[in-house]
Amino acid sequence: MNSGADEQGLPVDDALALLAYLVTCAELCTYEPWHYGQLRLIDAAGRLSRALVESGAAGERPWLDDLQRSIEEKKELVMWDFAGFQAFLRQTPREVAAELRKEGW
Amino acid sequence: MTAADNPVLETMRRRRVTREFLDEPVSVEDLRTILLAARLASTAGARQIRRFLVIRDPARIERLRPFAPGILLGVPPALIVLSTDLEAARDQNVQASEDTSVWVDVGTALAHMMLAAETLGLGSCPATSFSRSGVAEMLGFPETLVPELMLQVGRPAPKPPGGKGKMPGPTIAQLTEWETLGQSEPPA
Repeated sequence: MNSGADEQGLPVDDALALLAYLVTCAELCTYEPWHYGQLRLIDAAGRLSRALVESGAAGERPWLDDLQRSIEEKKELVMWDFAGFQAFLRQTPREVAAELRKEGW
Repeated sequence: MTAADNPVLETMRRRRVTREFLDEPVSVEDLRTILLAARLASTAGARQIRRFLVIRDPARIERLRPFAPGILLGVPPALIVLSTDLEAARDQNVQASEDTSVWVDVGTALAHMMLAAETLGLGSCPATSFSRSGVAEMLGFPETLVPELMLQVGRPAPKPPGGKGKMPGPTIAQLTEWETLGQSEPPA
C-alpha cells in the first residue's frame, strides 16, 4: 500500500519533458499514420512510469517498473505485429486498474 | 560482376535499421566518413541546400528526445540532424516549399549515410517523427534552417536471441512492371 502523504511529486524536469513529448505527439498526430497515435500514447505512459520510478516519486510500486519494461518491450510490435500491439494495449489498462485497486482506488 | 558478388549490393543487403546502441562514442573520423557519403549523394540540379548538425553530447540529445518521438529507444551515441537551408535554396532559385525534390535530396543523403555507416560497422536509424518547430527551437536554428530528418548512429547493441530478423515484404518483381502496367516481365 502506498498512500503518499510523505511521497514527493514527480520532479519538474521530468514533468516538463513529458509535457514537451505530449505536445509534440499532438502535432505529429495531425499528419502521421493514425495508428502512430496509439504508439505515442502508450510510449508516453512508459515515459511517465519510468520518471516516477527513477525519481523515486512512485514509492514502493514495483509494478510501475514492470509496466515500463513491458511497454519498452511491446511498443515496437506496432511495426510488425499490429494485432499483437493492440492486444497489448487492450490488456494494459486492466493490469493498471488491478494495481490501483490494490491501493484502495 | 553480378548481383550475387556486388559488394555495394552486399552492403545494402546487410544493412538493418538499428534502434538500440551500445554506450560507446562514435569517432569523429567515422562521422566525417558518413558525412562525406552524404555530400557525395546526388542532388537535383547539383545544388547544395542541405546542412548537417552532428550532436554527440548525450545531455543535448536527451533534451531533444521529448520533441523527437522517432528516437524510440534511449539516447543514441551520435545524432546527425539533416536540415534544409532556405537561404541557400532561395539563392539557388529553389522553391523549397513547393519543390518535392528537396525531400528527394534528403532521402538520397540518408541512403548514402546509412550505407556508409554499415561499411564502418555502425548501425543507424532515421527519424522523421519529430516536431520541426520544437527541434529547431531547441537547437537554436534560425527560421531559415528547417530540420528534415535525424539519423541516429552508433555501435549496434546485441540483439536478443529469437529476434524478428528481416521483416518480410514483397519482392522487387512483385513491385515492378515493364513498359506498360500489367506486364510483369520485360518483353523479349
